[in-house]
Amino acid sequence: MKRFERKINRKFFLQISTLSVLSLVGCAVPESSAVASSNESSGAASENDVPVFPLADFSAMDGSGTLLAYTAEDILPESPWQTSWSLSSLPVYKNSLVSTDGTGIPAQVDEAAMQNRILEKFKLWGLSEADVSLQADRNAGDNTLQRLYFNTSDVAMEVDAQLNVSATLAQPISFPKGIKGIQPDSSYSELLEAAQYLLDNHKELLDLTEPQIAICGGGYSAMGFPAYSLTFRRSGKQQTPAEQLLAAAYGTVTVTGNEKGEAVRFAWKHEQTGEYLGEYPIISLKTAQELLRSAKYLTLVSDDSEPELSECNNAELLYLDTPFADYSLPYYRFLIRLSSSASETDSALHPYGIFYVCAVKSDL
Amino acid sequence: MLTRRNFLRSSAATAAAVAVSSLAPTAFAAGNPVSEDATLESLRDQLRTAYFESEEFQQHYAADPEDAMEMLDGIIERQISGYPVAAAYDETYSVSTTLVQQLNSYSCGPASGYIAISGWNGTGSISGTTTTGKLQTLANSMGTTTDGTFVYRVRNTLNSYVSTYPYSYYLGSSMTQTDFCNYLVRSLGCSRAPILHARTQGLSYYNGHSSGHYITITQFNGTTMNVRLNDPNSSNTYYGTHTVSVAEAFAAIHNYSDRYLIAY
Repeated sequence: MKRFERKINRKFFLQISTLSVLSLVGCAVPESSAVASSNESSGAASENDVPVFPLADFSAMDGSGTLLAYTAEDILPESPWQTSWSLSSLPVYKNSLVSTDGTGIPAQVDEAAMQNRILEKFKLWGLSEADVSLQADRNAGDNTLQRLYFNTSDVAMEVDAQLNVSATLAQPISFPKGIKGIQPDSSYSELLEAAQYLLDNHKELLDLTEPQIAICGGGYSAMGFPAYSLTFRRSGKQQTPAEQLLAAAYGTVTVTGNEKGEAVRFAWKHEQTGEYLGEYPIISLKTAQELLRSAKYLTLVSDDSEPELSECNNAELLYLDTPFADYSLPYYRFLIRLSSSASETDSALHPYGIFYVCAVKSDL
Repeated sequence: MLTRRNFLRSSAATAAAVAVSSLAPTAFAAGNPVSEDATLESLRDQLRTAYFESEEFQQHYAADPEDAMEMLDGIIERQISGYPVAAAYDETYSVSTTLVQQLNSYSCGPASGYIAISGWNGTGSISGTTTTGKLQTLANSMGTTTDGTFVYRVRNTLNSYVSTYPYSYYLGSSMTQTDFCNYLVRSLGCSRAPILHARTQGLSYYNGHSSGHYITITQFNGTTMNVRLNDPNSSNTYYGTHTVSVAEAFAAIHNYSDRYLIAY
């Protein structure tokens, strides 16, 4: 039985109770995954002779992995997953943008891919290669290419080494009277109006196949209002559940506003470009809940936060997109209320921690 | 024709009259960080080479060689003066910053970046009419999510607000404390407040609390060997200005894997 080994020195973010387990476990998947990488098998692999996929590693990340909300339902899901879906397997990919250090920079920076990626997007503004002069920004410490960028009188664009592209408009898109636009304190319904306006009037700038509104977020900021993200993702009536999950994790475009609420910045997340390894069996939500209660999870939440693991009904299934994973795997993402002692506020807002359980079936 | 050979042979002239900002922002990026072993002359060569490879400098030189060289020599001497060796640490290097608290538990990257940008009075360049709006702008630019912010995106966003003395990231576990001091002095000397990509359990005022966290360094005191930190933590238990020893700040990135110093 072949196993993929994790880097032992990058696991200290795990809860102490899970450290010894997750350092060894990972997500177990059929041995045929290794074969599938060469023959692109599309059928569900057998469950015999299973190796282990290494899990994502957040040790280089920051933050507490928590959100403030009145209830877990305040937080909108990032994924279109529904509990009614009947899924027995999902595709797994190699992560072509994996970072082997803690910076997030891919181990193999592909300058040609970066150029192609930004070329795709600046055509949206009617620009050609002759119109722009790409500047390179390299890190002085190791000379790694970090980003390519250019500025014209109309737009400032850049692509980073993870192939994320952004465009900041010199002339932001204003909304008609009656639409508040994209402001930090815009409510969900106000953002929905703005999103629909963009969809109706500036669909071409989104550069997505059948773009679909996907507002997510909802955690409360220190200012006392929920913060949402106005995001679009590709859709289509023919999309399979797996394609819908992938469309929510990769290739999305997030639009942000300026102080007037005008749409000023479009940010396209990189696509899933890793090698397809095959379809692998996934566990049910019920099994994921059992694993969670057994403390077999990944989290950034500090080990002094006392999660109430018995209350784990708020979950979604998604692809965890991170440079700190060798494979693109589906995870169940739980929002778990933390003990009241973890909250420093006197308000009715509660801290909720984010916990991930790998959805690919394990043999252990 | 300007060649590398005659370029490197150029002698120092009078101080530069041309602003540093007239040069391409990538010019400095080609230089390497200073180590104890670097001699001043090798540093000069590094800097000359970096400018020599700059298209903008080439154009300047083609138009007015004397002026270009005069400018370059002045810049190099100013750069050299910003690289004191460890034995010369007897001064305080600091920048005046605006301390802000992060908007939520996962946005220390944007908040520490805001504090750093305030060190060169640059926050006016950040889109937004309020501090909250500006923090949100930085979070958007850095791609901050509930899982935090990547080191390279903090660096990239900071550099989108500067044309000189750009930030780089340096791996904590592979540097010495002397390297660390050199980076702090050089960066603070150029109004670029460094940012620690720290593990908080390495800092005494966290009392063992474990998390990954960005914290801005706003002062280095070579006499006491202390640093002043601007910690934007959303928790009031840790938020604020703290003074810790250089050794402690260094340990917070050196004793853990995958932790960085973001500095000029």
